[in-house]
Amino acid sequence: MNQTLTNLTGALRGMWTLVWAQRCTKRALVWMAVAAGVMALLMLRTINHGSERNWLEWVSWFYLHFLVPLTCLNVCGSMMRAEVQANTLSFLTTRPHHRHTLFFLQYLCHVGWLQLVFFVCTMGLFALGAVKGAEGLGKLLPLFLITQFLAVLAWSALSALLGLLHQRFMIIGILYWLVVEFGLGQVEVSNINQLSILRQLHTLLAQNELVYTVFGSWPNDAPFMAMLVLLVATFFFLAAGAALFTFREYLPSHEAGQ
Amino acid sequence: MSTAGTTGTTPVIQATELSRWYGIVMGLNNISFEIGPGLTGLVGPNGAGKSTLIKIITGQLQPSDGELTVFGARPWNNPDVLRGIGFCPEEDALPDRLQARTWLRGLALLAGIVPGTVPGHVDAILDCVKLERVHWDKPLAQFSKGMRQRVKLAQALIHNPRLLVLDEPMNGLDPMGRQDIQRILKQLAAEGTAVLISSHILHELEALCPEILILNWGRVIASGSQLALQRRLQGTEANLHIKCSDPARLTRVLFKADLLLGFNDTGDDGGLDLRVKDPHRFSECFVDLLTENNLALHELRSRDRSLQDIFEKMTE
Repeated sequence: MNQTLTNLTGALRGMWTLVWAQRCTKRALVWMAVAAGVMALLMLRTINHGSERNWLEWVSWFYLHFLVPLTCLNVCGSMMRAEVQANTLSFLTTRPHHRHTLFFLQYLCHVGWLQLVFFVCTMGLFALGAVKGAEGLGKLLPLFLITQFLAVLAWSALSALLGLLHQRFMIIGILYWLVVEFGLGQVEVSNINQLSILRQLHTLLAQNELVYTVFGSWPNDAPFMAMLVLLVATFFFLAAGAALFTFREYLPSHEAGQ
Repeated sequence: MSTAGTTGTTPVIQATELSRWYGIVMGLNNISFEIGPGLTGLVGPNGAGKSTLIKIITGQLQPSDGELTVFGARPWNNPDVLRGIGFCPEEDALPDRLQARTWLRGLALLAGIVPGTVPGHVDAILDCVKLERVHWDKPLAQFSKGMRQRVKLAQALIHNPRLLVLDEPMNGLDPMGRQDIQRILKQLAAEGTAVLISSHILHELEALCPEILILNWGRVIASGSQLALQRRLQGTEANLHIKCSDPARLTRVLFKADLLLGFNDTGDDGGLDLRVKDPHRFSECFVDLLTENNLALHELRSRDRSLQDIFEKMTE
């Protein structure tokens, strides 16, 4: 048991070393800094001073609804697929680990990286809100961080699964986003809307008075159920992805045939 | 059952009626063979099934039918087997943004090497493959083909595997690099590592691998020692070129020992082309004959079929 745990922590360190070194390049950091700068500039120009509504609309619609899921899709969808396409997957799959373990390790490391990036972004967004005179942000920050943490877990797990399903995972992900999140998630006459990750995020964020005031239509009942749904969804997507990676062969020569 | 290097030893790799299809295309067709410790060359024309076989051995592909075991167990999704395998792929694909040392450190940790010993381990292995220290912390994108081959070999060796599988390891290497790799592989084989090498450079395999497995159209068409394959092709005699201190006396001695079918004086300084009757008995008593008759040997080489000849004959 202890040996297994030691092996796993060593493997996690190894995977983190590889993921960190690939993600944290000078070029990637420069691009992220430029993107963050452009976004900050746009926010500063478009948010009216003292308008919490303006700020929340930016943070909710652009950041949480669009930027976070799309980044998760891009980063975690490609975590295995990019290795297949670059023909470097064999360096991982010939290491002494079950294939599902490799999948989980990749997921954990990529999610770790995303959580770091989004934590920094969120702090920046709240700092900008404070600069723009939005009030009540201090109370919202802990809830927003928890919600974002769960959102990144769920979006990333879904993205990892989509990445294993098909090489056109970006298109499938965007279609999923449109159909399930913005389609089924808006259906009010049935419980089918519970399938939407965004709906669970709305439920969590609407526990904050300021958010509920601005977005009155967001449900604010049963926040713990929303957390549970997000965790169960994460587990389900991960289990499906791990099963797929365990039983399916991934070779560059197979890519053309997909 | 074809065998390569398993005489009297437990096979490292054992395939039984192994087949692999890609849709309707047959990659491997009902093959059975065994591979033992030591150096084994995997030879075959393009499309023979070499890469498919290597991918099944290294747990990247599953058989469609039959079974392949490494150390007695199936390699697919089996950490216990994979722990003993080192794999150097043919493709020149590396994570180009990473530095050599960072990449190897990550892979070493993934391979289960104790974290505290990883830096020393990585440095030792980079020294072993003779990658100059000045390149250790450069991104892999800046590496030449030869340097990339050395790093690929290093990642395969990093966890001291019991079976090393190399797909075209000499690609892109200069003659010095090839010598280095050959030296490393011979040393590993001498230490008990089973080494399976797939290569198109037949004369190098010939010099390196006593055992050969020849594939064509997804089937094993020959396997065993090079000597045995040569015998199979040409019967029970061997052709040698010899240079010694007294050629006339040597021929008399060999005739007397009933080992010589014929000879030809090549005219150069002490040179003889010999047709030896029983190569096995010849190899057993030749040194004794030289010693007993006080003959000095300057050169001895086979004039028989090379691996290239065997390969061409077998794949005709």
